[in-house]
Amino acid sequence: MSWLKECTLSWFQSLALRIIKTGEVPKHVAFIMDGNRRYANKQNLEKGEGHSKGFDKMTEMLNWCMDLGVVEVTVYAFSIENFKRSKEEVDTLMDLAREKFKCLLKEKEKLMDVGVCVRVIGNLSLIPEDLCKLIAEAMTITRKNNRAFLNLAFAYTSRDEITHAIKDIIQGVKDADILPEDINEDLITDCLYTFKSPNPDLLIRTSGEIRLSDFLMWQISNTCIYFTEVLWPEFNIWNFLSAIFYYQRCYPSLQKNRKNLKPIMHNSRVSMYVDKLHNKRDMAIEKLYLSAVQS
Amino acid sequence: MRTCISSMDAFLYTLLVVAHFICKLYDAICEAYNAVCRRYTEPWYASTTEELDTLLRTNTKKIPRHLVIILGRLGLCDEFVLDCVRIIEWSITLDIPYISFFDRYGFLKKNKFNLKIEFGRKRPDLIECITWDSHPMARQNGIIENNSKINVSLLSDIDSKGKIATLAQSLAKIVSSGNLDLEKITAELITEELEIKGMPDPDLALIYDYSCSTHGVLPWHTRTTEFLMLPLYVNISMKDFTCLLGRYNKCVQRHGK
Repeated sequence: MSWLKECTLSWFQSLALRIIKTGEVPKHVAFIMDGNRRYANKQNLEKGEGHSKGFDKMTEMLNWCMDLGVVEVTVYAFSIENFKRSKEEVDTLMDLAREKFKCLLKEKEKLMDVGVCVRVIGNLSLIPEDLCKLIAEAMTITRKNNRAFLNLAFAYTSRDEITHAIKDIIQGVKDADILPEDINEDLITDCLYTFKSPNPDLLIRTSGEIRLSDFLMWQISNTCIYFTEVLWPEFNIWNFLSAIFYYQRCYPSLQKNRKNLKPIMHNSRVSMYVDKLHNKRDMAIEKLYLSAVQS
Repeated sequence: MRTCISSMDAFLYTLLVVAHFICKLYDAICEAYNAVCRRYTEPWYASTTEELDTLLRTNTKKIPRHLVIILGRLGLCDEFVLDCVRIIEWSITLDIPYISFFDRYGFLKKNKFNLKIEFGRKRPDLIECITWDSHPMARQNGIIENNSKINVSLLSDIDSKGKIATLAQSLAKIVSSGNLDLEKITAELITEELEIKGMPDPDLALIYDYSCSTHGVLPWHTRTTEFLMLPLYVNISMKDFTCLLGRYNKCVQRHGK
């Protein structure tokens, strides 16, 4: 199953999409793709097959996003909490990820043509090494693409992300790059795994759950949240357009909430530290990629 | 060709505006219908505590230990203070031990005095049951000495992300002075440090605003919190509240499994 397949919308669906597109469209949409296992149960399928259907749906959703003009998508693929699942299921999910990343790397040219930049956000130290290398390869080769951004949250939780940001900041203080007085909310924001992305405008969670499950908790202060009953593999274009329509209805109120927000401004000491940290993270990924190429 | 596309887009945009207008109209009709219904279901307000008690217990098996009310711009008005009073009253009836009100700008913190006055006026009998902002209770032999049944906290941005930034600052100072190893900083340590006066993490958050958004409420504490929207009018009724608790009762936590 390809990551970038052709979109097959009926004329009526395309018309609806074009109508919605004339209004306010979120630039960054985040998804909690929940309900794969319930879907598998419902259809008498193996759990793994449910997850596989979930992946197919994600690729379909990426097409809808591109057609609509959504530039950035972040999906919650695997939470650190999901390691608590049975070994069999975790292994299946890791195998699925391996297979999909290999497939993504095979489609390298197509990705470069479309201009998709793939990033993985999460704690890579918790992921098997071979998978890490595939991730590093995908991130490095698509790094300079800037027409569309796909962030995959893998081995991710917000608590882990915030903890890492705090530790990096404290290391900066220890190394005398910054002072304790320089620490504020903006600095934490710039040290999260998502430092390259703007905050999401819309967050969609499927399967009727109404919680956030430790996903982007820091980043979604001003995000419009849309909970829907439908299971992720059954999520269709109409559900997607309904979410965008809801976003458009909320847009004036969200804009008012954002009115008082000031853009992040650091002093030169902090700016230098932030740049250094970002470079260090990019280098770590590149190093991992080079070790994969050499081996 | 370009003119043709732009006029086509203008037509499609008109269709979108009409669709949004129909939705707004539908909402307005629903709101008017609800207002009429509420007028005829006055007993919902007038019920005595005993009646409320019986009513609530029939519908709700699972009671949140910590309820948080999130106020967006819509809630930043004096009328909402009366709703807060009612919600606190219902929460006492339901034995909810912790209730917090969060608004980004600290509106309710500034109106704490009004809230206390209003509560005292409406339910002077219950004023003794409230501990404001979780001042530590006097404990003797593990027994709580006062009559407190509920802890009411008023929170704003500085208790949310602000507190995490302050904690990072103090941890940085401790680590720099050599009193703590950087590797000892874990999510568990941060959880411990951020614990708000023995409060459990919120189980349920009710948002009072036009759009469903967290408004930045306690990013560290709300990972398993269930989020629901309060209706868009002031004078929230018992019925609305019980409906929301009914919905909360259907939620099942999986903790990643």
